[in-house]
Amino acid sequence: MTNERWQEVKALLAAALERAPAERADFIRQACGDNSELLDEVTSLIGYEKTGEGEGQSFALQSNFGLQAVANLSAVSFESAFNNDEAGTPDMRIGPYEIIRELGRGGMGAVYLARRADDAYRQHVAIKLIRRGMDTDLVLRRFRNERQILAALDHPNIARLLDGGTTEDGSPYLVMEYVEGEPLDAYCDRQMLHTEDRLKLFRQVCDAVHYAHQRLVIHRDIKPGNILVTREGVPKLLDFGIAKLLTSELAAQTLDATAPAMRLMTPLYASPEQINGEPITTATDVYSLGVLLYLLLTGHKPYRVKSSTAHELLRAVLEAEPTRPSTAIALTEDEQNDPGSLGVALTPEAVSKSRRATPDRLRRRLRGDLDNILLTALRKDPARRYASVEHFSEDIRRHLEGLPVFARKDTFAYRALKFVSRNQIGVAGAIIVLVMLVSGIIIINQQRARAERRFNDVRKLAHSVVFDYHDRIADLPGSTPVRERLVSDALEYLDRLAGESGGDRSLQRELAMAYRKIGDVQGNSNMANLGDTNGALDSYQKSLVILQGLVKAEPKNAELMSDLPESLERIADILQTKGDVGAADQTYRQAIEQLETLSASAPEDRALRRKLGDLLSRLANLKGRPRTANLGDTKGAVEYHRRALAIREALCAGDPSDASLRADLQDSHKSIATLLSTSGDDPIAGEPHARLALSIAYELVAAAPASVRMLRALLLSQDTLARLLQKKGEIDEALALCNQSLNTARAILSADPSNMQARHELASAHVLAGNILGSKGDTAGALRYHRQALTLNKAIAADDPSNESADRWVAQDHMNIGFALALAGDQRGALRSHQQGLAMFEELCRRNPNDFQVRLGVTRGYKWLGDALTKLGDVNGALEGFRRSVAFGDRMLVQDPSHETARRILSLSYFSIGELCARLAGQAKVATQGQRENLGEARKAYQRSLDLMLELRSKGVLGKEHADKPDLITGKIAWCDAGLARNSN
Amino acid sequence: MDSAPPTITQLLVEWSEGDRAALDQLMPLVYDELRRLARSYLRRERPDHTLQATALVHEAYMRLVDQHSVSWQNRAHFFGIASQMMRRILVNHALARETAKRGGDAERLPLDTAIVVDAKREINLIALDDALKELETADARQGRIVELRFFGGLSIEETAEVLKLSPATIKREWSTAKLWLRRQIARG
Repeated sequence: MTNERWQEVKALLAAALERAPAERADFIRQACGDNSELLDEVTSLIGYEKTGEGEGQSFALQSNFGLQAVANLSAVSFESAFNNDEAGTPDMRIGPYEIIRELGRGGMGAVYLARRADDAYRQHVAIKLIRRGMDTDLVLRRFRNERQILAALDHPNIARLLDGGTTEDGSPYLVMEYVEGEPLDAYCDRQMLHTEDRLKLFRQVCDAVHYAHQRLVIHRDIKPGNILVTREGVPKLLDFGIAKLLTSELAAQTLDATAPAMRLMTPLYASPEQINGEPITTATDVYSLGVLLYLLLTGHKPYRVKSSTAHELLRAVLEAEPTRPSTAIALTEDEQNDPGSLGVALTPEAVSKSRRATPDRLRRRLRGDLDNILLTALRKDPARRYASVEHFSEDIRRHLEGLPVFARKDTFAYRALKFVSRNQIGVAGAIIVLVMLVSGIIIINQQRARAERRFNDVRKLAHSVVFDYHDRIADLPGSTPVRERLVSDALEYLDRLAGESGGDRSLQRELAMAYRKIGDVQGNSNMANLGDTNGALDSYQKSLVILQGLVKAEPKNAELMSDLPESLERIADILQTKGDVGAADQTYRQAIEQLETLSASAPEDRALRRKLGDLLSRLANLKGRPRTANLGDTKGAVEYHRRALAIREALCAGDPSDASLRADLQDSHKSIATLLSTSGDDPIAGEPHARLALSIAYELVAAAPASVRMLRALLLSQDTLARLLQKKGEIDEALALCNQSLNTARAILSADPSNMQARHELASAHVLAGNILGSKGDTAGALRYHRQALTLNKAIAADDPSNESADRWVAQDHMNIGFALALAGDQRGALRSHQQGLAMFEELCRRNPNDFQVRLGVTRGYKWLGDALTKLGDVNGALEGFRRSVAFGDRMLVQDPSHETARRILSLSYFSIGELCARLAGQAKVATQGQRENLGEARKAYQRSLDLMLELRSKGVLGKEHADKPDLITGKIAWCDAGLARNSN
Repeated sequence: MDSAPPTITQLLVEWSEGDRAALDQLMPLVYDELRRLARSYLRRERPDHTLQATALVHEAYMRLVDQHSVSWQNRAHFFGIASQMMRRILVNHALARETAKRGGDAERLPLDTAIVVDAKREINLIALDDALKELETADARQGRIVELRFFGGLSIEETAEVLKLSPATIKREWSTAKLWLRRQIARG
């Protein structure tokens, strides 16, 4: 299709579309004349015009929240997008309303622009909907509260509540009048309203507020951003979101998570009593209105601050006297990006210009009455302000009509009497600042308290506590530096706060929580960089110290009691990440101890029990995991796993339908099985656990077939049992299981083909199969599988050059192939493969001299090399190999004395050295120097081997196949001694 | 705060004031943000995630930009970039899913999640993208309009602003494009 052609077609199409459907055919025929190609084309295309909904099924909302899950743009949404000329959004519905787009999202949920689907005149509405998951009682209560409040209000200057309801899945929603307009102060400036008009507009707002007060509703968050002026010049008051019914305010004495200090408010408009967390009355709204009017009349804020931090601002609100409005005019201030301002620098000229006056005239206008009216409204002591908004408004009316006003200049005596706060200055303010900071929406500049958000654009900061925004921090846009700065700012405030918080217990608890939250952010290794573990540890410790202090003061406080284990757990986790295993162990145990005490006093609390189970598991893993440097305490690990198991069994019995509980249970069984089978010389003990783990895994997979996590659990269980059975000697069943595990590994891989871990798991399954077949004697089969594993691992190494383990796997595969070849009798082939593997291991060792796995690979590799050379008859070569093996092995044991596998390999290598040296010695016909040396070395080697084996035996991990070796070796040592004695003669 | 790196808002303002270099700085930030958003939407295992390109871009906008100090024109410009990116992100994802399902060599998914997806829907997004590409070869401007409206969720007016055309023109282009695209997709 060429451009010209298309333009031609397009023009015709457009013209045709403008005509009524009935006329189109004729029009097209006429327009095309005898150009039959064009005619065909246009006719064909016009046939795709749909009227109304057309074929796309209406995208009615189904699941949670009323919003259809659309994982990607579907055909239906595609169609409805085409049909919906408002915007290219999918058709969605809430109740009888059709959503156009999302306007904003906040702590409680989201707000949407919508309209009635069936309505002829498509009036826009705003729908506020609770977010799924946010169904705590508190939130629902607030929402219902809001609905209740708003339903009672019907005033031309208040955004109306039109409707409300619940979606199909029970999420409540509010339908509000959609107000489109400008914030009040911006409107006034743009229209350049002079003082009179501003006062009149203001009085309308007062009217609305007063109306609400009469219905026992206090707004509590009056600011220009919450007052929009429509195109017709009508101010509308929005967002009674944090408003409260007067009656419930007085009744609410409970210390819920949204403690007074955490209530969000814009520092600028917050009244002293709000900041101090004292009872809010109608006088609070008077104050806020005062600040609003101050801004409207002067363009400035009432207070002068040294720095633009909210901390300073709050201090000013609590302590400083407002600048007299008439004097404020004369100030020149830096543009403070005040909400609503048009970014005009605040000079006397600019300010008076937008009020259609000169600086002089404006000053005179404000001096006197207006000064006093404003200052009265802004008094620190609520009792000394206007008794009601109506009084406030009335005084303004009197002024406008030239009548004497009631506001009086404040006497010196009163001014001197500073409004003393109960709490320490700045403390509560800093918390609010923290809320704003941590919310992540106000990035850095604390003062930008998005006041101009309309009701429709739900304020992201509204009524939320530090904790709600944890995810938000993690979600902060792009740049890490922003996030880091946020964290450091937050910490700075917290630290300052901590210094000032002495004695205030509820504050201290909030503080402890905040520190913990910040620690979470710092240590979060899910982000691009690994996380600042030291910083996180620091924050967690701070949190812990505070909590410990609190618990000491209030030993009976159950809430505090459960905070402690949480903090301890986090610390332990970080310590583990850092590798400080000993400290992690200790900390876990502390946490466990505390949780146990807690749980004992509240035995029905399942969540506590579950947490306890998790902690026990965690500690067990720490003790037993062979990969990282661990304490090597297998028995301890098993013991803890058993304890966790007991708890989990009880929990499962209590709620058999909980799949995640069963997954936990399965994990416990599997862990115990693994530990018992790999470390003990009696794999039988682990078997029942392994079988249970497997059967539960099958259940879980059946219940959640798409879940890769469950499949992986199944894979691990199959693997564990297969290994166990191999050790036991039940090769056939082991093999069958191994085949199943191969299938499972393939299934996981097909669900996620690019996943490296899955690919490696498949390779590992092949290795296991190879090992099992090898022990069965099917060397051909073993070779096949090991070779396949090699191919797979090579591919991984090639595809993922950054994967350090991949090379190790490949090296090991070579060794495994060598081992299998040796079994098959092909010693030369074995030799070649071993050499290949060893070369790789050596190289890896050079690169990572401290990598334990690599060194183990080298140690074992040399042993196998030695074995192969022995079979080939190359005694000296074999000896060299074994000697290298023990050199590596000894060094390993020095660094990690608890590593049983290393010890075993070492013992066998030494044994082999002994054997070979003894053979060499035995070959000598007469006593020679060489013979003595060989005997000497043999004896030393045998002795060392014996010592190691005895160590293994004492730990119970010697294994059946080597059980008789110690005695054998003892005999050989005696033989050596005898030989040495003869030789020295 | 003096030496802070330019925020997205600042960049948008600068760009709208004619500073071309600002756009270069802006693009990666925007793209990162959108990808991150898309990923977080798609990753959630619960069925209540709503992925609509428009909502995503709206959200990206709101997160990134200080709505107050950016004028309406800049917002539209933002969407212009964003819609292009959104299209790429979503189509790439759809393609990767398609390839993965067929068992072929899946390229690295930009959005690395496994979600259960209705195969038919997947193809339609790809089909749309293909069709749109076709349209673009014949009429670049019209293709852009579809991109802005469909992937960026811009209204007729906003699209008009971005492209500096009249709303009437946009309407015409949009309605004729729809017909052609529908047919193209229907024909497979």
